[in-house]
Amino acid sequence: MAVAIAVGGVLGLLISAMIKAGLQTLHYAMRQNMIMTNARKALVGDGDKMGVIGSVRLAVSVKALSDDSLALTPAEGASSSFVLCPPSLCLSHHSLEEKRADGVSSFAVGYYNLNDEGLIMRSTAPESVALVSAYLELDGADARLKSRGAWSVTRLRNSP
Amino acid sequence: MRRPRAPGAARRLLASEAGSGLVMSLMATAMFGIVSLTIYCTLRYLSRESVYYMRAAQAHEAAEAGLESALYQLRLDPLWRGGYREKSFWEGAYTVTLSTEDPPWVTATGYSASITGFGRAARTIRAKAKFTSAGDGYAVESDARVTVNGAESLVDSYDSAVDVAPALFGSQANIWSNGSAETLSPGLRIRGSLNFRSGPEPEPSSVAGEIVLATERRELAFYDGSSFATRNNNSVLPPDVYDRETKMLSIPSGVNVFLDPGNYYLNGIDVQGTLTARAGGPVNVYLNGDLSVTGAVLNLGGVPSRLNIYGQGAANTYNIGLYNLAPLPAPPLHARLLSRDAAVTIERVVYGKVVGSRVDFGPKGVLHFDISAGRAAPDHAAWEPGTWVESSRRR
Repeated sequence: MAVAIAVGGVLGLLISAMIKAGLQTLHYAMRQNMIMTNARKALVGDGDKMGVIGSVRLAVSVKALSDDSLALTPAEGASSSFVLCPPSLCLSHHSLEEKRADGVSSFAVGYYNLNDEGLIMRSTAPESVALVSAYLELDGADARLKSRGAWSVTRLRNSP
Repeated sequence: MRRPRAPGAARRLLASEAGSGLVMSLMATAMFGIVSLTIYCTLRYLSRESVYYMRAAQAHEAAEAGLESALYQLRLDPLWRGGYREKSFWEGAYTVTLSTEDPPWVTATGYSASITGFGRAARTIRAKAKFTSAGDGYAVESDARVTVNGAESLVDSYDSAVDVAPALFGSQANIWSNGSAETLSPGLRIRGSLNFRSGPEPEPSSVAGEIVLATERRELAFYDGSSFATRNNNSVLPPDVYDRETKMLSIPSGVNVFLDPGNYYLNGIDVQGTLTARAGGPVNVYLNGDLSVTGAVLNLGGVPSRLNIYGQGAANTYNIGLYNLAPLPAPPLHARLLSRDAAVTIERVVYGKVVGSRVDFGPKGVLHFDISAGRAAPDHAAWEPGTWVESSRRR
């Protein structure tokens, strides 16, 4: 009887350890999935909600050369801007903030254009901007699940 | 009838450990199964989501490629409206359509490769082209030779946007030859300027404008119709004159065949009867073979840019020959013959524009160059700012 209890106990510990490892794997995979999904929501968009890339493509120009926000002037309608509203990335439109993606801890924007020699250079004026780079850092939720970065460079298709 | 067990046997049965391992194994297996299934389902969802996003990006890039391809073609010919139908691009394809406006709106739809259970992703981009001003267009463009040396041969100009059947013609019929140029004198043969790169200089009195010995070679446009080789409007052609296997259109004398607006891909055309292009949108014929006209080719409405013959093959011959019902007057052809690789011979009156590797005007060969149908390639083509839009759908 005692032997059976001992064997059962060892087996139980072994099984519970394996189940725990499996659940941790699942948890890790789900977190990574969530980070990737949030990065996609922010950059590519979510259904009808356009992300950074699509908005930049449609924009005629940028309004200002801000490092931590992206203000765009579309071909039609009012301007809008992507700003960080921790812990999310939001689209500010008509003085309303609409959440675009969760888990975004930082948002950095760069502005570029081609100079007369055809080389890419940092823009010094909003009206000259032809390319926009956006870098997002997304939280990993805890110390073991480190944060991840997502990066894009997009050309303003409607710029003159 | 079963006999009841003795109390001693029941105690022994309860105290026994037999079968407990099996129960625990089953429980462990069930737990493993559940966890494994969950992980599998999650990973499958993840991979499908990733694949779909990848395909969507591919479809977008295919649409972009279609748009740029159309812009390139418009750069060569601002009147091009042929478009492409599911033209292969890497693993996917793109379809391009152009509006009839000038400059046109261009709509490009890119398709990714198909994914089982998802279909294929599609992205559509639309933008309006914008051209900068260009110089005068050319009535005739040739790679090797232009000869206007028939007794009655003449090249002059008019504008179909002003009058499709003018009584008087102008002097904006410029000619470009990357090779030689020959004119018959006496008499005025070319009412415009003549640019050539080799051979003797033509007699000045036969050319109304300047005669220029060009130093640079001019690129002649090629109109890629390969995407219409399998997807086209050929099915409306009557089977008694059109061979589906060989794609040859042979119209015997006394027979009239109508072409509705659309895109046709043929390996040869022999018109001894009548071929009539109906009015409306353009009739685009991608011709991968020879053209022989001894009958009549009618373009209802008389606007040359509504009937375009785009050469596809190399070393073909286009013979707009003498009328087989002479001495009746040969009906004029209103069309744009655009084949940089074909040897073109003109023996009757043509309204429009002609491009060929060699262009020869016979004794009665006349070209009334339509300025609107032969507008020059713009110096620069781009997209009108603010017109670029995109949309998505699955297919």
